[in-house]
Amino acid sequence: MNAEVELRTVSKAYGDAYAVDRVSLEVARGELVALLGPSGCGKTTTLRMVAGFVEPTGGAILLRGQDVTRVPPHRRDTGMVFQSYALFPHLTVAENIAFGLKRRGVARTEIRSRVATMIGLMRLSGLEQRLPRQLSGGQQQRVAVGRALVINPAVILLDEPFSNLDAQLRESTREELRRLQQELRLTAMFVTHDQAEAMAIADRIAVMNKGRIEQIDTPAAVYHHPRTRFVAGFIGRANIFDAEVIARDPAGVAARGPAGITFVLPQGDHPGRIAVVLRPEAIRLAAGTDAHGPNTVAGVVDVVAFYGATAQLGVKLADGSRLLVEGSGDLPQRFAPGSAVVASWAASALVASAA
Amino acid sequence: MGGALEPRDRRGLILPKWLPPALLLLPAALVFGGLFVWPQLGLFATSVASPPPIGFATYQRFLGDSFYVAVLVRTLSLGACVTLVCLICGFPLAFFLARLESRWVPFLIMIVSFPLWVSAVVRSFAWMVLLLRNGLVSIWLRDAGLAPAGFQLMYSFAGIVIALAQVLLPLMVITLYAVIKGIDRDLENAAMNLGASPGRAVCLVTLRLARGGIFAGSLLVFSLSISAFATPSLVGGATAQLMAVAIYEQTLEINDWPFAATISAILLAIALSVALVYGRLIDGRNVPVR
Amino acid sequence: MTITSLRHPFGIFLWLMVALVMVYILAPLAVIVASSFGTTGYVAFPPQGFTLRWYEQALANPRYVNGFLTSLRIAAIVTVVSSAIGIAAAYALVRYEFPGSRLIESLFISPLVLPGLVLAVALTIFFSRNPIATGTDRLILAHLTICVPCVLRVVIPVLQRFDRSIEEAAQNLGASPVKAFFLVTLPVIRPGIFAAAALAFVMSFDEVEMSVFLASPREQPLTVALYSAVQLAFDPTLAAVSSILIMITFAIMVVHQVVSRIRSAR
Ligand SMILES: Nc1ncnc2c1ncn2[C@@H]1O[C@H](COP(=O)(O)OP(=O)(O)OP(=O)(O)O)[C@@H](O)[C@H]1O
Ligand SMILES: [Mg+2]
Repeated sequence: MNAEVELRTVSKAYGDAYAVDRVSLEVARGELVALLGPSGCGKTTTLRMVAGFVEPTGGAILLRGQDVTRVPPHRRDTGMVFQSYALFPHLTVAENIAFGLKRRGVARTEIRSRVATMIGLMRLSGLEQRLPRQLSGGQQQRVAVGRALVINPAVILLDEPFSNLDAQLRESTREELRRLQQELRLTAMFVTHDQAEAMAIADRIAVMNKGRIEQIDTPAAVYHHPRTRFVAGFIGRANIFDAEVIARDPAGVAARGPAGITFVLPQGDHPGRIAVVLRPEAIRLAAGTDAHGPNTVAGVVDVVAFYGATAQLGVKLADGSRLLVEGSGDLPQRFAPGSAVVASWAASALVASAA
Repeated sequence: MGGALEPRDRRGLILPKWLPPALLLLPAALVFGGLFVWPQLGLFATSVASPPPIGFATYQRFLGDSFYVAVLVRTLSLGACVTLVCLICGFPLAFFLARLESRWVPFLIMIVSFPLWVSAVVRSFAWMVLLLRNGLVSIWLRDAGLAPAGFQLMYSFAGIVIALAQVLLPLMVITLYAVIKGIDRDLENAAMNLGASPGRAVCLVTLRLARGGIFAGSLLVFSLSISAFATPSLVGGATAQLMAVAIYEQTLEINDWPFAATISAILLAIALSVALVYGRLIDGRNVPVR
Repeated sequence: MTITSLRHPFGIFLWLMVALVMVYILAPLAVIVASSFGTTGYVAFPPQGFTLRWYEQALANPRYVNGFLTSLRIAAIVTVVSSAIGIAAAYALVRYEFPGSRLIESLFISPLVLPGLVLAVALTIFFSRNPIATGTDRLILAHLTICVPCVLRVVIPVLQRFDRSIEEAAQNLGASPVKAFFLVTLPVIRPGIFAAAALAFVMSFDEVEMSVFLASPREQPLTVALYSAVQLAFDPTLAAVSSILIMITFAIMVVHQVVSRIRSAR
């Protein structure tokens, strides 16, 4: 058992509302797990329960195999990076970073060398004697990370650490953190509501909704095999159709969807009603009006968005719904708005998730 | 100037622009000038008019008389003791109220500030009942062996401190509550996360950041306690050797107005300089905003 | 585990301190209310027996009844006058920006930071030299010096927060400026004005120093009647009078809370 962090059916109720509802999760050593979900789904609460600021109303939390559910925060071995950074405004950068070492009674000379190392690692050289309010947002963020890292915690907890940075800085800081995490083999839990951020940085993503984890998997698996309709809709763009299974045979499963579409999916253990997920980039378009057979549908192009290397088209179907199609940048030239098209896709591109 | 009363009456007569605000301010100015500034100047003039026309005999009398110097010192030490008690009792309560996550907090604040709305006479009377020889607190102290037989807190310095601190405590709590509420609680969480016990986190972070507010609250309580009248004169008795009681005595019993005015002016000078520092603290950057 | 949780020694210390301090703040008032129902002839705690005798005696004592009525009358007049003066001045200070308006504002509020006792002495000397008012009128004038600043301090922020475009819209629709003030501004800032008036009322009703120094002996406000009675003897009717005051205050506070809850719930 080499999980650094383990959550066992952890719940947190405020009154009769569950902020976190029976969440189970393991984070292995050196792994970065992202908690991803919409606002209010319980990500912060989950993270704060691991740090010990919020007491679970049910379940157990283990750090390095030890049950810490009832252990106060200062005796847990976690390093938290707060969304607001929570840098001590009355202490300098060096003092902020040294704070945890002092509390642990580390010898003064060792504190000095470890703080210096961390300042170098975080590229904060020359800023040691500044107060937090004299730093830029990005520098503050690095101090917050350095302060949490210097105590070598079992797990480092990051609550939307990039949300206060502008878009460009966010990306570079993200890459830097990922590099650091892999170099130092840090175990980390990372909260975000930005799915692109989660995909870019995480080893595994736990997609949360209404206090529950809907799916926990690698970014690719979450994207290509969303287990629920919510996950499919939340991660990337997706066309999602309600469909009813009408036939099963060894070759595949047939399901009837809206606008007269017949889906044929790879063999699988599907219930009667399913949600069929079709990624926009898996759809091919051809000019024409007749759609024959399964996994095709006819429609009319009605909106076009050009992004340079790629482009997106909206295809209006017979029942008025719209199919989102993504393709190379020449798509708008080939299919002007108003042109009749037939869309088709491979059976292997379809994923059935719970309706 | 669109929304304000326009400088024009119904018949379209044009009035000077300054007239409406001046008329609106006039009553308040009369109250301020006639009933506040003028009497205060009169008080000051009375204090420096013995012997007439200008003389400082009463000041010399006050500062030269060891009795009155002792009164001044006692008054200042009363202020210091009350402030200390208010701080020690007020900070934990204010911190608790600022950090408690409960919908009962507004109710608790209401309960804490309730005594402020009750007349000082009533509150002092309550303490007299408790501090007299057969009062609960005095009996407890004797039963616990902390005080000799026949001991009572009534009419004692300690009794005045106890009563006055209770009277002013809500103000301290409300001041500190606002200050602590303005300090991000994640700072304490961060300290704990880095290994500080909750008590240490509060000492190392909250107390340090609340220093300006603690100072401001202390000045407020100090200035109010040295000039308080009802509680000291009731709990301390008519002979309590305090500035406020001496002023009362000189004004209403001995009718020595120049001397009463002098003691008042000295008290006013102290309270005012404290209030000025307090005002600077509240406006200035010394109170941490985070 | 929040910092106020009981799971660590600091949390336990905190709760203990809070309990002690709450008792310290509230117990004296509770003791008075409790002992006012006791049967013993002197104020005692814990009270023995139960009686309403002291309330009967208190309500039969003309000193307290008249004192209460006098205080009520003074406070009512002071409230109305100081609200009118204060609101007018606040309006002028907020709506007409002129050089020095900030200075005037802080000057007008400054009587609040001075010791009430010093104000009382100054006014005693002042009135004896300038007999512009006699009897209870002197006390009413004296109370204005602290109640007007108090109204100002509450109403100025309320007016500053008030969205002026509402007023302008009313004028746009044809209301005269004066009409706009009474039809639009006043109703919107009414909660703030109520708060200011309530504060002025309580201030005047509870005020001790000026009352002791300036009240006419024939018309003593309740605080003065209590102040002199408390010094003389500990008779349980005092506890009854005090309890009545405490309970009235408490009732007002609860009603205020409930009303503002209901208002904010809407
Ligand atoms: N102290 C509290 N009392 C009551 N409810 C709370 C409390 N803290 C959080 N909640 C509720 O718990 C739910 C989860 O909150 P949480 O802060 O964990 O969400 P989140 O996923 O971090 O959202 P965001 O992305 O907006 O930060 C929310 O519905 C919130 O209203
Ligand atoms: Mg959050």
